[in-house]
Amino acid sequence: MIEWIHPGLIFIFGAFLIPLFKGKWKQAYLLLPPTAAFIDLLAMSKGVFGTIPYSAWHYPFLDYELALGRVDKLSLCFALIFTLAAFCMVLYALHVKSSSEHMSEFFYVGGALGVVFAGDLFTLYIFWELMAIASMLLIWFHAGRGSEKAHEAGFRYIIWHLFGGIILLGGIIMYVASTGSTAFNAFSCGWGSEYLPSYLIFFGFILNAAVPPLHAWLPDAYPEATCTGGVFLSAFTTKSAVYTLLRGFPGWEILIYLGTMMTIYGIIYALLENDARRILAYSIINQVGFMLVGIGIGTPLAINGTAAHAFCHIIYKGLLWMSAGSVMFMTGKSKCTSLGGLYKTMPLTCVFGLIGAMSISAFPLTNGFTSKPMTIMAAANEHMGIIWLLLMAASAGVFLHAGIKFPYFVFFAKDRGLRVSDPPINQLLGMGLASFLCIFLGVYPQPLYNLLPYQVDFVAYTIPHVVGMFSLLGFSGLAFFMLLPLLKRTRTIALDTDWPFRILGAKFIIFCKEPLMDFASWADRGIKRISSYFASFGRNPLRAIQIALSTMMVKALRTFVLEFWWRVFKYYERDLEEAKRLPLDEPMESVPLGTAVLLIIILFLLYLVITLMYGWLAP
Amino acid sequence: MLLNFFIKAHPGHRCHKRWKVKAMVKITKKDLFHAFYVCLFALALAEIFVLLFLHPHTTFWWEEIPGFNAICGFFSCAIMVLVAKALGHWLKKGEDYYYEKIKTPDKKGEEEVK
Repeated sequence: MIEWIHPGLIFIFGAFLIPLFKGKWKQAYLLLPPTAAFIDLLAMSKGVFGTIPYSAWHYPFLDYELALGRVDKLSLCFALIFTLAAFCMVLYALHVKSSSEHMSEFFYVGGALGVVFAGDLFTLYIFWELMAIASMLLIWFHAGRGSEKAHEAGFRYIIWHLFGGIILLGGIIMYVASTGSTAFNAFSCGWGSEYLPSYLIFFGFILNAAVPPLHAWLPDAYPEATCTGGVFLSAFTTKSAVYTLLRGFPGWEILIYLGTMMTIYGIIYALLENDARRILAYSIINQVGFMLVGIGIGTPLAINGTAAHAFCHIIYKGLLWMSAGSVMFMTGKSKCTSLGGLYKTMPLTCVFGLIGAMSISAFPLTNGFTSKPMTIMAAANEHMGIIWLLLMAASAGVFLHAGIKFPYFVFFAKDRGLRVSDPPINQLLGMGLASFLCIFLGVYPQPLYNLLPYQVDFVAYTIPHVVGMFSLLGFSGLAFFMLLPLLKRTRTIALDTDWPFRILGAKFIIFCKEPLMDFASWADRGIKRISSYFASFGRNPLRAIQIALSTMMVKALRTFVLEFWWRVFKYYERDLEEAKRLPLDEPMESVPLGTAVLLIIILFLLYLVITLMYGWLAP
Repeated sequence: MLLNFFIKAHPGHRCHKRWKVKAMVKITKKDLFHAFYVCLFALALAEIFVLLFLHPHTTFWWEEIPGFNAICGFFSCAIMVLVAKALGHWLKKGEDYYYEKIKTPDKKGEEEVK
């Protein structure tokens, strides 16, 4: 009797069956693994709320025990939202015909679920890398449809992630070697060299959480993915990193500062961007910043806030990516400068996009309002004045870039004459489901609060909260419309922290290709000349020396030759050239074999005599 | 028939004059913005009202400034837009920046090696 089924493995094994189905059967089958995993999770959660049960699968691996499944409230909360989001996204992606693309989506989700349930560090690492590779494939499927940029961005993406993965593995090995335990629990943190393993693991985690300056892979690669791939990418990598940070480093103060910096950084760059999906990518950085602040504060309210925010963020950010993806699917464009006025012909996509935009800016009656203010309130409860002010500013800024800028420039603004209809029905259903969840959890957040790791005593709907939030958002909207001339879209990109790698790295490769290869060929030619001289010297030493000396003489005398002697000198030079061209062996006389053997025997005899004489003469 | 009427009955529609509808009310962009300003004014008043009469729990002294949320929302956004504009001066580059910056090396070097 199997007492526990890993939902991630449902996805991973389910992926292998996808190529067996075709047409409508495939579409029906694709929805099966997410549903099965969801039911599995619901069955798992029965009767376990309130306590923290520990049921795990153990496997021996290199004398260590692998714990594939650690189920407690925190991992269940993340696993539920991952499965739920996967269902919406698979529904959204049903029109895609390529089996391999669906397979990599499933591997990606399975990897994320594996990370969430990982009870030890080796399991964590295995699923971590599975996730990295599957997500890179989602980017490369766009390259397969002719996007050269996606190919390059995928390469840069996987280089960043393999680098982070190696650092993480190094940290894990050092940690296991120093403590002897592979359990994935909170790491000890502090300042000093004895915490090096923790630092390395932390580095691996924050690279996946896209903390600047280690974030450049996110806005670089995500917008290059396929229109459905981008939807998947937006949810899992960063949020599983948030989960691992929540598990491994709760209450580490540095996360507060990193997170606050991220919130502002994401907004500034999102304001600079022109590509609609790149705006949303920077918006992920901004939102993960809020979560990191919550992890850094580490009080029960802050942890609850982070988990709730991650839960809601996956839904509404997925929804926003879906609407941007639909626009791209129908128009083939994602730049703000070539989009606009789409509300007339894509009304449903526009409405869903607006619901996502309102949720991310935490409008009352949407799920952003019932989750994000928890983190801000936790900062207030800890009396962090500056952090609180910056977070408030960032909440207003979220409305500025994701709440207004994205829908305004894509669906309203200037009509660019694009006349496309709403996307296929499955995309609309996916968006509709996500929109329903956004509003449902905004109106009735109790099911969400029941999932959170600690008891929730946060009441979202009080009059001061609602009025304060409306007025914060309303006046930031006013600022947007007043400063609209400054936000004029231009056909530009914004340089980010990957500039050194992309420019200096490429320059280095060009340096290797051109000047370094020139030097190499020069050195090669020189060495060849020397070796050929040695070869001729070995064959006919006298003549080789003679030719070398006369060449040197000619070169040296050239400058001193008088007008009168020039003719004679020229003849001499010509003779020298001819001498050089002559076969080297020519003056050598060939010796018959018998004579040669005789000579060798005489030489041996001489050698024997010398040896014997040496024996006599030596003292 | 009736449905057809509702679909077609808008001022700009060209059809037989029997179906013509006069432009009664036309909501312009300007009207929307006026409504927006009225809402904002109402919100600011509501915020002051809340502060004065409901006495919400506050942690920091600046939360008791009347209209704090409005001020915070407006000025933080304005500052962020201005900072982004200023940074854009250095950070914004043409779309093909990375491709122009890295020119593919010509084949001259390779031929020499051969």
